[in-house]
Amino acid sequence: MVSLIENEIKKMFFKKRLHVIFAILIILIGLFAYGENYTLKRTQDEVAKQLGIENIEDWRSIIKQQITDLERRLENPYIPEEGKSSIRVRLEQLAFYLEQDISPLNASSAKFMGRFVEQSLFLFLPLLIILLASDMVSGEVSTGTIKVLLTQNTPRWKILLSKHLALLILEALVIVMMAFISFGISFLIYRYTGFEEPFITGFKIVNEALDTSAVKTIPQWEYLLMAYAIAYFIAVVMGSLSLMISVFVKSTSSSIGIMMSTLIGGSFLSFFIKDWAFTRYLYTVNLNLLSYITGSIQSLDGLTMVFSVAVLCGWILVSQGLSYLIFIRKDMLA
Amino acid sequence: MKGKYKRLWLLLPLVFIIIFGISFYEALSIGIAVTVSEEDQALSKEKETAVSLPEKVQGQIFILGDSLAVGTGGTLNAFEQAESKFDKTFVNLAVEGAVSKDLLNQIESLPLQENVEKVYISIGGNDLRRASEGGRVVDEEVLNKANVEYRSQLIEIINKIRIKSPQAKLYVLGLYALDYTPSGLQQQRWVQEFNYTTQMVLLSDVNATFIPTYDLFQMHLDKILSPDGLHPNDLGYEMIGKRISELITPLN
Repeated sequence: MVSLIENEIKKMFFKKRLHVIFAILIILIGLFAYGENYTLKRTQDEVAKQLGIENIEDWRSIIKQQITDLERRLENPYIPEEGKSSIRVRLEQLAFYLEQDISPLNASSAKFMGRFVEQSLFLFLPLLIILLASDMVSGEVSTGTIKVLLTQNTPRWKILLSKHLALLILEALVIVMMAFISFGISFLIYRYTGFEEPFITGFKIVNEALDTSAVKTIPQWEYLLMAYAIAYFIAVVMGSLSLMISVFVKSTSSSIGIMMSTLIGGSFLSFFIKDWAFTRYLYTVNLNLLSYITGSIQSLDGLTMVFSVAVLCGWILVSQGLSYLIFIRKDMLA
Repeated sequence: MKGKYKRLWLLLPLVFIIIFGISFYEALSIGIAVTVSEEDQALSKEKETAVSLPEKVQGQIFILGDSLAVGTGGTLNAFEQAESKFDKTFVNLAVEGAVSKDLLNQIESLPLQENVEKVYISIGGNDLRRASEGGRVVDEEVLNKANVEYRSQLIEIINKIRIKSPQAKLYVLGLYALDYTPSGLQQQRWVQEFNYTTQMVLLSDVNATFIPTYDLFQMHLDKILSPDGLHPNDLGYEMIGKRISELITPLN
């Protein structure tokens, strides 16, 4: 089995597929970093304007003042306990910046990496994986190399399994590539890693109001690990789906086309989540798992992380099952 | 030799996959923690209806408005400082950054009652700042419009307070400029325009008083402004408090 997997991976390298993905990542991340730098300058100016100060160099005194205000608010008897927990978390955050002598408005590699994952998770990353996996079977059918594989003594299911496993490894490689490239480029620009900085998570929206009872602080690196883990899970889902389509269809372009239309078409259908129960079970609407962690008010009615993960696992199982069924029965030697 | 290396490359991605697995589990636990349950929904609805504020107590003083009423930049806001000699209960519902529109919206839900003794208000500063982008841009039209809107909102605010508490004494804090040098002339002018508006609105109400602060800050700006260059510091609040004291302390 291991040699089969090794074979599949070598084929991928031979096709230079990974090289293409590497190049795309470098270009996109580079552009993203350039854009972020622009936005950062603008954000800093806006914050300065809001605070009505000349520049944001004097952030230390502003933080000290915010700390005093927050401490006073903690003593206010009219604020309920739950409101106080968010004040305490904010205090922790501010105290950290003061102690470590870091300006909270700074740019860091950690923040950049996190933001890139957040933005690419539901569209760009799936597209990359579609590129990676879509022709693992259909490509071989159209070139005819599938016959070489099938005429060996190995049972068909083993062949497909080796492809699936190879894909798991390649997907991990893509995620690691993404991490290293975004780290490399952002470090070149910002020269500051910021992995120990605090990141707040745990926001709930209850009845359209912010509920901060579950809020807590974690270091950036922990958040990044979670973000990449989620990205890998998404990659696995997309890979499984793409491989299934690749088994169904003979040409690579149809394979890629079908996957892309489901991805993009699915995101249109997400408009109907509230009204049309069926749309919740589409894989596309459940891709943005990271938004549950960042607390972005993306969570639409009735969608919870557990639900989305369950739906996606369902898709993995179904696509795996179907791909084996068809691959074993299909006539590809003609 | 070759056999060993064969297994090695397999190990590396496996390690990554395991790390991903562990982190995914952690992410999932956070995802579960933020899941809104039926319980949460029910609890929050309960809290909305319950208003945890003190019952009818004699001598209640309400403090409303923006960050100056909160006391940002110092230890205690000027209103409570001025009243500190007397034994009073304060209900401070001021919000930093509030504009007159925010205060107007808030008034509806306030538990103002007939026996409210005094209402201190600090408002208007953020209206002016937003219209002038922090005091840097002076667009006559925009500022005029803001002034007119501020006036109508202030009138509404006073009216609504009066409906609930016709006998309460109202005090509205005036604005001060952040730049008293010749280069800040336009800013000073508009601060005075807003102050004039406030005073004119309060004219019609016998129980309402305007608390001027412009001159206080003109004389001592660098000593009584906090490091953010916007709010008063402890000394600043103390001085405003003293001025209020003069207004509220009965003469024999």
